[in-house]
Amino acid sequence: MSEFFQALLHYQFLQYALIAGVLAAIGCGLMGPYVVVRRIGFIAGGIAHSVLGGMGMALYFGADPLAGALVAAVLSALLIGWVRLHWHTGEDILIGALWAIGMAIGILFISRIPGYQADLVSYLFGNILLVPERELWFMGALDAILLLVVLIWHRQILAVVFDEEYARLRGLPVTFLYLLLLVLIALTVVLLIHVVGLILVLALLTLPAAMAGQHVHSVARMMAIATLLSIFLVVAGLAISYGPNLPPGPTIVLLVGLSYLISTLFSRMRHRT
Amino acid sequence: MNPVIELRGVGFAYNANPVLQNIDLTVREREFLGIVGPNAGGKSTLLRLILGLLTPDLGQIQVLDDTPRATRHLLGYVAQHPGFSRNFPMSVRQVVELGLLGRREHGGPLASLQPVRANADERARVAQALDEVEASDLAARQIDGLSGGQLQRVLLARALISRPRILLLDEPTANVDQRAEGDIFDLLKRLNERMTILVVSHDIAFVSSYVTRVACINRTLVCHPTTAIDAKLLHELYGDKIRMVAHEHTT
Repeated sequence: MSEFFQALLHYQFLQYALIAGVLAAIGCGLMGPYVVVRRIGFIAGGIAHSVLGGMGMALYFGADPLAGALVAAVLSALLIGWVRLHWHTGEDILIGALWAIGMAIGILFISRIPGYQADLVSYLFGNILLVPERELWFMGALDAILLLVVLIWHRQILAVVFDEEYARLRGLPVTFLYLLLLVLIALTVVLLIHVVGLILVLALLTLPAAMAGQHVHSVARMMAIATLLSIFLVVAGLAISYGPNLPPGPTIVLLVGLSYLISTLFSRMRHRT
Repeated sequence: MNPVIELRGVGFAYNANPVLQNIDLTVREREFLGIVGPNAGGKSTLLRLILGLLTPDLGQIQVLDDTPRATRHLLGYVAQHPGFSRNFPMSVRQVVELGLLGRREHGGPLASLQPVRANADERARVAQALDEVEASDLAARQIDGLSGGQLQRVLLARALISRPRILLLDEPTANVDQRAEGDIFDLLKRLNERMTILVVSHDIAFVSSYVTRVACINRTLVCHPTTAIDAKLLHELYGDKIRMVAHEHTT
Protein backbone atom coordinates (compact mmCIF):
# COMPACT_ATOMS: atom_id res chain seq x y z
CA MET A 1 0.00 0.00 0.00
CA SER A 2 2.87 2.39 0.77
CA GLU A 3 3.99 1.86 -2.84
CA PHE A 4 0.68 3.35 -3.96
CA PHE A 5 0.96 6.44 -1.80
CA GLN A 6 4.55 7.06 -2.99
CA ALA A 7 3.48 6.66 -6.61
CA LEU A 8 0.56 8.99 -5.95
CA LEU A 9 3.00 11.88 -5.57
CA HIS A 10 4.48 11.28 -9.01
CA TYR A 11 1.76 9.99 -11.34
CA GLN A 12 -1.09 12.21 -12.45
CA PHE A 13 -3.27 9.27 -13.54
CA LEU A 14 -3.19 7.97 -9.94
CA GLN A 15 -4.14 11.38 -8.58
CA TYR A 16 -7.06 11.51 -11.01
CA ALA A 17 -8.04 7.97 -9.98
CA LEU A 18 -8.03 8.98 -6.32
CA ILE A 19 -10.16 12.07 -6.99
CA ALA A 20 -12.58 10.01 -9.13
CA GLY A 21 -12.86 7.43 -6.34
CA VAL A 22 -13.64 10.08 -3.73
CA LEU A 23 -16.21 11.79 -5.98
CA ALA A 24 -17.93 8.47 -6.69
CA ALA A 25 -17.87 7.58 -2.98
CA ILE A 26 -19.65 10.84 -2.10
CA GLY A 27 -22.48 9.92 -4.50
CA CYS A 28 -22.71 6.43 -2.99
CA GLY A 29 -22.82 7.79 0.52
CA LEU A 30 -25.63 10.22 -0.29
CA MET A 31 -27.84 7.92 -2.35
CA GLY A 32 -27.04 4.50 -0.89
CA PRO A 33 -29.09 5.00 2.32
CA TYR A 34 -32.24 5.82 0.32
CA VAL A 35 -31.72 2.66 -1.77
CA VAL A 36 -31.17 0.53 1.34
CA VAL A 37 -34.05 1.81 3.51
CA ARG A 38 -36.54 1.87 0.60
CA ARG A 39 -35.27 -1.58 -0.50
CA ILE A 40 -34.94 -0.64 -4.16
CA GLY A 41 -31.60 -2.34 -4.84
CA PHE A 42 -33.19 -4.25 -7.72
CA ILE A 43 -34.35 -0.99 -9.31
CA ALA A 44 -30.85 0.44 -8.97
CA GLY A 45 -29.45 -2.74 -10.56
CA GLY A 46 -31.89 -2.42 -13.46
CA ILE A 47 -30.89 1.19 -14.06
CA ALA A 48 -27.19 0.31 -13.87
CA HIS A 49 -27.34 -2.49 -16.41
CA SER A 50 -29.57 -0.65 -18.86
CA VAL A 51 -26.86 2.02 -19.07
CA LEU A 52 -24.72 -0.18 -21.34
CA GLY A 53 -27.32 0.24 -24.11
CA GLY A 54 -26.85 4.01 -24.02
CA MET A 55 -23.07 3.75 -23.90
CA GLY A 56 -22.93 1.29 -26.81
CA MET A 57 -25.19 3.45 -28.97
CA ALA A 58 -23.23 6.61 -28.14
CA LEU A 59 -19.94 4.90 -29.06
CA TYR A 60 -21.38 3.56 -32.33
CA PHE A 61 -22.65 6.97 -33.39
CA GLY A 62 -19.42 8.70 -32.35
CA ALA A 63 -20.83 10.49 -29.29
CA ASP A 64 -19.43 10.64 -25.75
CA PRO A 65 -20.22 7.27 -24.07
CA LEU A 66 -20.70 8.98 -20.71
CA ALA A 67 -23.42 11.20 -22.23
CA GLY A 68 -25.05 8.05 -23.63
CA ALA A 69 -24.85 6.45 -20.17
CA LEU A 70 -26.44 9.50 -18.59
CA VAL A 71 -29.35 9.59 -21.04
CA ALA A 72 -29.97 5.81 -20.77
CA ALA A 73 -29.81 5.88 -16.95
CA VAL A 74 -32.25 8.78 -16.62
CA LEU A 75 -34.67 7.32 -19.19
CA SER A 76 -34.74 3.90 -17.53
CA ALA A 77 -35.15 5.50 -14.09
CA LEU A 78 -38.17 7.48 -15.34
CA LEU A 79 -39.67 4.44 -17.08
CA ILE A 80 -39.26 2.16 -14.05
CA GLY A 81 -40.60 4.85 -11.73
CA TRP A 82 -43.63 5.56 -13.89
CA VAL A 83 -44.53 1.85 -14.11
CA ARG A 84 -44.00 1.42 -10.38
CA LEU A 85 -46.31 4.34 -9.55
CA HIS A 86 -49.05 3.80 -12.12
CA TRP A 87 -49.22 0.12 -13.09
CA HIS A 88 -48.71 -1.31 -9.59
CA THR A 89 -47.93 -4.72 -11.14
CA GLY A 90 -45.28 -6.04 -13.47
CA GLU A 91 -42.57 -3.75 -12.09
CA ASP A 92 -40.14 -6.62 -11.49
CA ILE A 93 -40.65 -7.96 -15.03
CA LEU A 94 -39.98 -4.52 -16.53
CA ILE A 95 -36.81 -4.06 -14.47
CA GLY A 96 -35.58 -7.52 -15.47
CA ALA A 97 -36.34 -6.74 -19.12
CA LEU A 98 -34.54 -3.36 -19.01
CA TRP A 99 -31.63 -5.04 -17.24
CA ALA A 100 -31.15 -7.67 -19.97
CA ILE A 101 -32.26 -5.68 -23.04
CA GLY A 102 -30.06 -2.70 -22.13
CA MET A 103 -27.00 -4.94 -21.89
CA ALA A 104 -27.87 -6.77 -25.10
CA ILE A 105 -28.24 -3.49 -27.04
CA GLY A 106 -24.93 -2.24 -25.63
CA ILE A 107 -23.01 -5.41 -26.48
CA LEU A 108 -24.46 -5.51 -30.03
CA PHE A 109 -23.51 -1.90 -30.77
CA ILE A 110 -20.04 -2.26 -29.24
CA SER A 111 -19.44 -5.47 -31.22
CA ARG A 112 -19.95 -3.50 -34.47
CA ILE A 113 -17.10 -1.10 -33.63
CA PRO A 114 -13.65 -2.50 -34.58
CA GLY A 115 -11.11 -2.40 -31.77
CA TYR A 116 -13.56 -1.49 -29.02
CA GLN A 117 -13.77 -4.92 -27.37
CA ALA A 118 -11.35 -3.88 -24.62
CA ASP A 119 -13.62 -0.96 -23.74
CA LEU A 120 -16.49 -3.35 -23.11
CA VAL A 121 -14.58 -4.92 -20.21
CA SER A 122 -13.76 -1.52 -18.74
CA TYR A 123 -17.43 -0.45 -18.87
CA LEU A 124 -18.56 -3.69 -17.25
CA PHE A 125 -15.92 -3.80 -14.50
CA GLY A 126 -14.64 -0.23 -14.40
CA ASN A 127 -11.21 1.23 -14.91
CA ILE A 128 -10.58 4.01 -12.49
CA LEU A 129 -6.98 4.40 -13.69
CA LEU A 130 -8.14 5.75 -17.05
CA VAL A 131 -10.36 8.62 -15.89
CA PRO A 132 -9.50 11.78 -17.89
CA GLU A 133 -9.51 15.22 -16.26
CA ARG A 134 -12.66 16.47 -18.02
CA GLU A 135 -14.63 13.54 -16.56
CA LEU A 136 -13.55 14.56 -13.08
CA TRP A 137 -15.32 17.88 -13.66
CA PHE A 138 -18.35 15.98 -14.91
CA MET A 139 -18.33 13.77 -11.80
CA GLY A 140 -17.91 16.82 -9.58
CA ALA A 141 -20.93 18.44 -11.22
CA LEU A 142 -23.04 15.30 -10.65
CA ASP A 143 -21.98 15.26 -6.99
CA ALA A 144 -22.93 18.93 -6.66
CA ILE A 145 -26.42 18.17 -8.06
CA LEU A 146 -26.88 15.25 -5.65
CA LEU A 147 -25.73 17.28 -2.67
CA LEU A 148 -27.90 20.27 -3.55
CA VAL A 149 -31.06 18.19 -3.98
CA VAL A 150 -30.44 16.31 -0.73
CA LEU A 151 -29.83 19.56 1.16
CA ILE A 152 -33.05 21.11 -0.18
CA TRP A 153 -35.46 18.17 -0.24
CA HIS A 154 -34.12 15.49 2.11
CA ARG A 155 -37.16 15.58 4.38
CA GLN A 156 -39.66 15.48 1.54
CA ILE A 157 -37.81 12.58 -0.11
CA LEU A 158 -37.55 10.85 3.27
CA ALA A 159 -41.33 11.21 3.76
CA VAL A 160 -41.95 9.46 0.42
CA VAL A 161 -39.34 6.78 1.10
CA PHE A 162 -40.77 6.14 4.59
CA ASP A 163 -44.53 6.12 3.94
CA GLU A 164 -45.59 6.90 0.39
CA GLU A 165 -49.34 6.82 1.07
CA TYR A 166 -49.12 9.21 4.01
CA ALA A 167 -46.91 11.58 2.00
CA ARG A 168 -49.59 11.59 -0.71
CA LEU A 169 -52.27 12.37 1.88
CA ARG A 170 -50.25 15.29 3.18
CA GLY A 171 -50.32 16.76 -0.33
CA LEU A 172 -46.66 16.14 -1.17
CA PRO A 173 -45.98 15.67 -4.91
CA VAL A 174 -45.12 11.99 -4.48
CA THR A 175 -44.74 11.22 -8.20
CA PHE A 176 -42.26 14.07 -8.67
CA LEU A 177 -40.26 13.18 -5.56
CA TYR A 178 -40.13 9.44 -6.32
CA LEU A 179 -39.03 10.02 -9.93
CA LEU A 180 -36.49 12.59 -8.69
CA LEU A 181 -35.06 9.98 -6.31
CA LEU A 182 -34.71 7.43 -9.11
CA VAL A 183 -33.06 10.02 -11.38
CA LEU A 184 -30.58 10.84 -8.58
CA ILE A 185 -29.84 7.12 -8.25
CA ALA A 186 -29.32 7.02 -12.04
CA LEU A 187 -26.79 9.86 -11.74
CA THR A 188 -24.97 7.96 -9.00
CA VAL A 189 -24.79 4.88 -11.23
CA VAL A 190 -23.14 6.99 -13.94
CA LEU A 191 -20.72 8.35 -11.31
CA LEU A 192 -19.70 4.82 -10.44
CA ILE A 193 -19.17 3.46 -13.96
CA HIS A 194 -15.47 4.35 -14.11
CA VAL A 195 -14.77 3.19 -10.57
CA VAL A 196 -16.31 -0.28 -10.44
CA GLY A 197 -18.17 -0.69 -13.75
CA LEU A 198 -21.82 -1.47 -14.43
CA ILE A 199 -21.81 -5.02 -13.10
CA LEU A 200 -20.35 -4.10 -9.71
CA VAL A 201 -22.18 -0.80 -9.14
CA LEU A 202 -24.80 -2.35 -6.88
CA ALA A 203 -22.24 -3.45 -4.27
CA LEU A 204 -20.83 0.04 -3.80
CA LEU A 205 -24.26 1.65 -3.88
CA THR A 206 -25.77 -0.55 -1.19
CA LEU A 207 -23.16 -2.19 1.05
CA PRO A 208 -21.54 0.90 2.67
CA ALA A 209 -25.05 2.27 3.41
CA ALA A 210 -26.15 -1.10 4.78
CA MET A 211 -23.05 -1.18 7.02
CA ALA A 212 -23.86 2.32 8.27
CA GLY A 213 -27.45 1.22 8.96
CA GLN A 214 -26.16 -1.53 11.25
CA HIS A 215 -24.60 1.02 13.57
CA VAL A 216 -26.62 4.28 13.38
CA HIS A 217 -30.36 4.87 13.43
CA SER A 218 -31.21 7.76 11.17
CA VAL A 219 -30.99 8.16 7.41
CA ALA A 220 -29.01 11.42 7.71
CA ARG A 221 -26.40 9.73 9.92
CA MET A 222 -26.34 6.77 7.53
CA MET A 223 -25.42 9.22 4.77
CA ALA A 224 -22.52 10.68 6.75
CA ILE A 225 -21.12 7.28 7.80
CA ALA A 226 -21.69 5.69 4.37
CA THR A 227 -19.86 8.58 2.66
CA LEU A 228 -16.83 8.26 4.95
CA LEU A 229 -16.85 4.46 4.65
CA SER A 230 -17.12 4.60 0.87
CA ILE A 231 -14.23 7.06 0.59
CA PHE A 232 -12.07 4.88 2.85
CA LEU A 233 -12.94 1.63 1.05
CA VAL A 234 -12.48 3.02 -2.47
CA VAL A 235 -9.08 4.57 -1.61
CA ALA A 236 -7.98 1.42 0.27
CA GLY A 237 -9.12 -0.83 -2.60
CA LEU A 238 -7.25 1.32 -5.10
CA ALA A 239 -4.11 1.21 -2.97
CA ILE A 240 -4.29 -2.57 -2.44
CA SER A 241 -4.76 -3.22 -6.16
CA TYR A 242 -1.81 -1.03 -7.23
CA GLY A 243 1.16 -3.14 -5.99
CA PRO A 244 0.17 -6.56 -7.42
CA ASN A 245 -1.39 -4.84 -10.50
CA LEU A 246 -4.91 -6.17 -9.81
CA PRO A 247 -7.97 -4.64 -11.52
CA PRO A 248 -9.08 -1.85 -9.10
CA GLY A 249 -12.89 -2.25 -9.57
CA PRO A 250 -13.18 -5.88 -8.44
CA THR A 251 -10.59 -5.29 -5.68
CA ILE A 252 -12.66 -2.41 -4.29
CA VAL A 253 -15.86 -4.47 -4.45
CA LEU A 254 -14.23 -7.45 -2.70
CA LEU A 255 -12.97 -5.15 0.04
CA VAL A 256 -16.46 -3.64 0.41
CA GLY A 257 -18.00 -7.14 0.56
CA LEU A 258 -15.50 -8.31 3.17
CA SER A 259 -16.10 -5.19 5.28
CA TYR A 260 -19.86 -5.78 5.10
CA LEU A 261 -19.38 -9.35 6.33
CA ILE A 262 -17.26 -8.21 9.28
CA SER A 263 -19.68 -5.38 10.10
CA THR A 264 -22.63 -7.80 10.05
CA LEU A 265 -20.82 -10.19 12.42
CA PHE A 266 -20.02 -7.29 14.80
CA SER A 267 -23.60 -6.06 14.65
CA ARG A 268 -25.02 -9.50 15.45
CA MET A 269 -22.59 -10.05 18.32
CA ARG A 270 -23.49 -6.65 19.77
CA HIS A 271 -27.21 -7.42 19.64
CA ARG A 272 -26.72 -10.78 21.37
CA THR A 273 -24.82 -9.27 24.30
CA MET B 1 -73.81 21.69 12.74
CA ASN B 2 -72.55 21.99 9.13
CA PRO B 3 -71.99 18.83 7.09
CA VAL B 4 -68.25 18.21 6.60
CA ILE B 5 -68.51 14.95 4.62
CA GLU B 6 -71.25 14.11 2.14
CA LEU B 7 -71.58 10.95 0.06
CA ARG B 8 -74.43 10.66 -2.46
CA GLY B 9 -75.17 7.36 -4.26
CA VAL B 10 -71.54 6.22 -4.01
CA GLY B 11 -70.62 2.86 -5.50
CA PHE B 12 -67.21 1.22 -5.76
CA ALA B 13 -65.94 -2.12 -7.07
CA TYR B 14 -62.53 -3.80 -7.07
CA ASN B 15 -62.15 -5.48 -10.49
CA ALA B 16 -65.91 -5.77 -11.03
CA ASN B 17 -66.46 -7.12 -7.49
CA PRO B 18 -68.82 -4.61 -5.88
CA VAL B 19 -67.64 -3.51 -2.44
CA LEU B 20 -69.92 -0.53 -1.83
CA GLN B 21 -73.32 0.15 -3.37
CA ASN B 22 -75.50 3.24 -3.28
CA ILE B 23 -73.92 4.75 -0.16
CA ASP B 24 -75.50 7.92 1.22
CA LEU B 25 -73.84 9.44 4.25
CA THR B 26 -73.69 12.88 5.81
CA VAL B 27 -71.23 13.53 8.63
CA ARG B 28 -71.63 16.78 10.55
CA GLU B 29 -68.99 18.90 12.24
CA ARG B 30 -67.80 17.54 15.62
CA GLU B 31 -69.61 14.26 15.07
CA PHE B 32 -67.96 11.07 16.38
CA LEU B 33 -69.02 8.39 13.91
CA GLY B 34 -68.26 4.71 14.43
CA ILE B 35 -68.13 2.55 11.29
CA VAL B 36 -68.73 -1.12 11.95
CA GLY B 37 -69.43 -4.20 9.88
CA PRO B 38 -68.11 -7.62 8.90
CA ASN B 39 -64.71 -8.25 7.28
CA ALA B 40 -64.64 -7.24 3.59
CA GLY B 41 -67.82 -5.24 4.20
CA GLY B 42 -66.25 -2.08 2.76
CA LYS B 43 -65.28 -0.17 5.95
CA SER B 44 -61.69 0.62 4.95
CA THR B 45 -62.73 1.27 1.34
CA LEU B 46 -65.18 3.90 2.58
CA LEU B 47 -62.38 5.71 4.45
CA ARG B 48 -60.07 5.51 1.43
CA LEU B 49 -62.80 7.02 -0.77
CA ILE B 50 -63.27 9.89 1.68
CA LEU B 51 -59.49 10.44 1.69
CA GLY B 52 -59.37 10.53 -2.11
CA LEU B 53 -57.05 7.52 -2.26
CA LEU B 54 -59.74 5.75 -4.31
CA THR B 55 -62.18 7.25 -6.81
CA PRO B 56 -65.83 6.14 -6.70
CA ASP B 57 -67.27 4.38 -9.77
CA LEU B 58 -70.65 5.98 -9.09
CA GLY B 59 -71.95 8.92 -7.08
CA GLN B 60 -70.29 11.96 -5.55
CA ILE B 61 -68.19 12.68 -2.48
CA GLN B 62 -67.64 16.11 -0.97
CA VAL B 63 -65.30 16.76 1.91
CA LEU B 64 -65.26 20.26 3.44
CA ASP B 65 -67.23 21.51 0.41
CA ASP B 66 -64.66 20.30 -2.12
CA THR B 67 -63.37 17.09 -3.72
CA PRO B 68 -61.58 14.63 -1.43
CA ARG B 69 -58.30 15.10 -3.33
CA ALA B 70 -58.41 18.87 -2.90
CA THR B 71 -59.02 18.72 0.83
CA ARG B 72 -57.23 15.59 2.02
CA HIS B 73 -54.33 17.58 3.46
CA LEU B 74 -56.87 18.95 5.95
CA LEU B 75 -57.64 15.45 7.18
CA GLY B 76 -55.70 13.33 9.66
CA TYR B 77 -55.48 9.60 9.00
CA VAL B 78 -54.30 6.61 11.00
CA ALA B 79 -54.19 3.50 8.81
CA GLN B 80 -54.83 -0.02 10.07
CA HIS B 81 -51.60 -1.26 8.48
CA PRO B 82 -48.94 1.47 8.40
CA GLY B 83 -47.29 1.80 5.00
CA PHE B 84 -43.74 1.55 6.35
CA SER B 85 -41.33 -1.10 7.50
CA ARG B 86 -41.09 -1.38 11.29
CA ASN B 87 -37.30 -1.58 11.12
CA PHE B 88 -36.96 1.72 9.23
CA PRO B 89 -34.17 3.71 10.94
CA MET B 90 -36.27 6.50 12.37
CA SER B 91 -37.09 7.84 15.80
CA VAL B 92 -40.58 8.61 17.09
CA ARG B 93 -39.78 12.34 16.98
CA GLN B 94 -38.80 12.13 13.30
CA VAL B 95 -41.98 10.20 12.41
CA VAL B 96 -44.16 12.86 14.03
CA GLU B 97 -42.15 15.66 12.35
CA LEU B 98 -43.02 14.21 8.93
CA GLY B 99 -46.67 15.03 9.69
CA LEU B 100 -45.71 18.72 9.43
CA LEU B 101 -44.72 18.36 5.79
CA GLY B 102 -47.11 18.88 2.93
CA ARG B 103 -49.67 21.44 1.92
CA ARG B 104 -50.81 24.09 4.33
CA GLU B 105 -54.42 25.19 4.58
CA HIS B 106 -53.78 28.22 2.37
CA GLY B 107 -50.81 27.01 0.30
CA GLY B 108 -50.69 25.50 -3.17
CA PRO B 109 -49.13 22.09 -4.00
CA LEU B 110 -45.71 23.65 -4.69
CA ALA B 111 -45.58 25.09 -1.16
CA SER B 112 -44.88 21.56 0.06
CA LEU B 113 -41.56 21.62 -1.83
CA GLN B 114 -40.20 24.59 0.09
CA PRO B 115 -37.05 23.63 2.01
CA VAL B 116 -37.75 22.87 5.66
CA ARG B 117 -35.39 23.22 8.58
CA ALA B 118 -36.04 22.14 12.14
CA ASN B 119 -36.85 25.20 14.26
CA ALA B 120 -38.10 25.94 17.75
CA ASP B 121 -41.74 26.22 16.66
CA GLU B 122 -41.57 22.84 14.95
CA ARG B 123 -39.94 21.20 17.97
CA ALA B 124 -42.63 22.68 20.22
CA ARG B 125 -45.40 21.32 17.99
CA VAL B 126 -43.85 17.84 17.98
CA ALA B 127 -43.60 17.93 21.77
CA GLN B 128 -47.20 19.15 22.05
CA ALA B 129 -48.53 16.41 19.72
CA LEU B 130 -46.67 13.70 21.62
CA ASP B 131 -47.84 15.15 24.92
CA GLU B 132 -51.45 15.12 23.75
CA VAL B 133 -51.31 11.39 23.03
CA GLU B 134 -49.36 10.82 26.27
CA ALA B 135 -46.29 9.58 24.43
CA SER B 136 -43.71 12.25 25.34
CA ASP B 137 -41.47 9.63 26.92
CA LEU B 138 -41.22 7.82 23.57
CA ALA B 139 -39.81 10.78 21.60
CA ALA B 140 -36.24 9.49 21.35
CA ARG B 141 -37.16 5.82 20.87
CA GLN B 142 -36.71 4.01 17.54
CA ILE B 143 -40.00 2.86 15.98
CA ASP B 144 -38.90 -0.78 15.77
CA GLY B 145 -38.98 -1.11 19.55
CA LEU B 146 -42.54 0.13 20.08
CA SER B 147 -45.51 -1.99 21.14
CA GLY B 148 -48.73 -1.98 19.08
CA GLY B 149 -50.40 0.53 21.41
CA GLN B 150 -47.36 2.81 21.51
CA LEU B 151 -47.13 2.84 17.72
CA GLN B 152 -50.82 3.76 17.43
CA ARG B 153 -50.26 6.74 19.73
CA VAL B 154 -47.26 7.86 17.66
CA LEU B 155 -49.26 7.60 14.43
CA LEU B 156 -52.07 9.53 16.08
CA ALA B 157 -49.56 12.24 17.04
CA ARG B 158 -48.35 12.32 13.41
CA ALA B 159 -51.95 12.85 12.30
CA LEU B 160 -52.67 15.51 14.95
CA ILE B 161 -49.57 17.64 14.37
CA SER B 162 -50.99 18.95 11.08
CA ARG B 163 -54.05 20.22 13.02
CA PRO B 164 -56.63 18.31 10.97
CA ARG B 165 -60.29 19.29 10.84
CA ILE B 166 -61.40 15.68 10.46
CA LEU B 167 -59.67 12.63 11.90
CA LEU B 168 -60.14 9.20 10.28
CA LEU B 169 -58.91 6.06 12.02
CA ASP B 170 -59.00 2.55 10.60
CA GLU B 171 -59.11 -0.09 13.35
CA PRO B 172 -56.90 1.96 15.69
CA THR B 173 -57.10 -0.69 18.39
CA ALA B 174 -56.72 -3.84 16.29
CA ASN B 175 -53.27 -4.67 17.69
CA VAL B 176 -53.58 -3.39 21.25
CA ASP B 177 -54.74 -4.92 24.50
CA GLN B 178 -58.09 -4.06 26.12
CA ARG B 179 -56.69 -1.49 28.54
CA ALA B 180 -54.84 0.38 25.81
CA GLU B 181 -58.01 0.20 23.70
CA GLY B 182 -59.94 2.09 26.39
CA ASP B 183 -57.12 4.66 26.73
CA ILE B 184 -57.10 5.33 22.98
CA PHE B 185 -60.89 5.77 22.82
CA ASP B 186 -60.80 8.07 25.87
CA LEU B 187 -58.24 10.14 24.01
CA LEU B 188 -60.41 10.21 20.87
CA LYS B 189 -63.37 11.34 22.95
CA ARG B 190 -61.31 14.30 24.19
CA LEU B 191 -60.15 15.13 20.65
CA ASN B 192 -63.78 15.05 19.49
CA GLU B 193 -64.34 18.26 21.43
CA ARG B 194 -62.46 20.10 18.67
CA MET B 195 -62.64 17.88 15.55
CA THR B 196 -64.88 15.47 13.64
CA ILE B 197 -63.86 11.85 14.06
CA LEU B 198 -64.64 8.76 11.97
CA VAL B 199 -63.41 5.50 13.41
CA VAL B 200 -63.61 2.04 11.85
CA SER B 201 -63.84 -0.67 14.48
CA HIS B 202 -64.49 -4.39 14.62
CA ASP B 203 -65.78 -4.06 18.18
CA ILE B 204 -69.35 -2.77 17.87
CA ALA B 205 -70.11 -3.14 21.59
CA PHE B 206 -67.02 -1.21 22.63
CA VAL B 207 -67.28 1.55 20.06
CA SER B 208 -70.99 2.13 20.81
CA SER B 209 -70.20 3.49 24.24
CA TYR B 210 -68.01 6.27 22.80
CA VAL B 211 -69.45 7.38 19.48
CA THR B 212 -72.53 9.51 18.82
CA ARG B 213 -73.73 7.46 15.84
CA VAL B 214 -72.90 4.09 14.32
CA ALA B 215 -72.69 3.48 10.57
CA CYS B 216 -73.29 -0.21 9.90
CA ILE B 217 -71.73 -1.19 6.60
CA ASN B 218 -71.88 -4.41 4.66
CA ARG B 219 -71.75 -3.29 1.02
CA THR B 220 -74.66 -0.93 1.79
CA LEU B 221 -74.73 1.48 4.70
CA VAL B 222 -77.31 2.25 7.37
CA CYS B 223 -76.74 4.68 10.24
CA HIS B 224 -78.14 4.15 13.72
CA PRO B 225 -78.00 6.02 16.98
CA THR B 226 -75.90 4.05 19.44
CA THR B 227 -78.95 3.25 21.58
CA ALA B 228 -80.54 1.36 18.67
CA ILE B 229 -77.84 -1.35 18.48
CA ASP B 230 -79.58 -4.62 19.36
CA ALA B 231 -79.39 -8.30 18.44
CA LYS B 232 -81.83 -7.95 15.54
CA LEU B 233 -79.75 -5.19 13.95
CA LEU B 234 -76.52 -7.16 14.38
CA HIS B 235 -78.15 -10.17 12.76
CA GLU B 236 -79.18 -8.05 9.77
CA LEU B 237 -75.68 -6.61 9.49
CA TYR B 238 -73.56 -9.73 9.85
CA GLY B 239 -76.10 -12.11 8.26
CA ASP B 240 -75.48 -14.94 10.70
CA LYS B 241 -76.57 -16.05 14.12
CA ILE B 242 -75.22 -13.41 16.47
CA ARG B 243 -75.37 -13.56 20.23
CA MET B 244 -75.35 -10.16 21.87
CA VAL B 245 -73.65 -9.87 25.25
CA ALA B 246 -74.20 -6.61 27.13
CA HIS B 247 -71.09 -5.08 28.74
CA GLU B 248 -70.89 -2.36 31.31
CA HIS B 249 -68.18 0.18 30.56
CA THR B 250 -66.72 2.17 33.39
CA THR B 251 -65.65 5.15 31.31
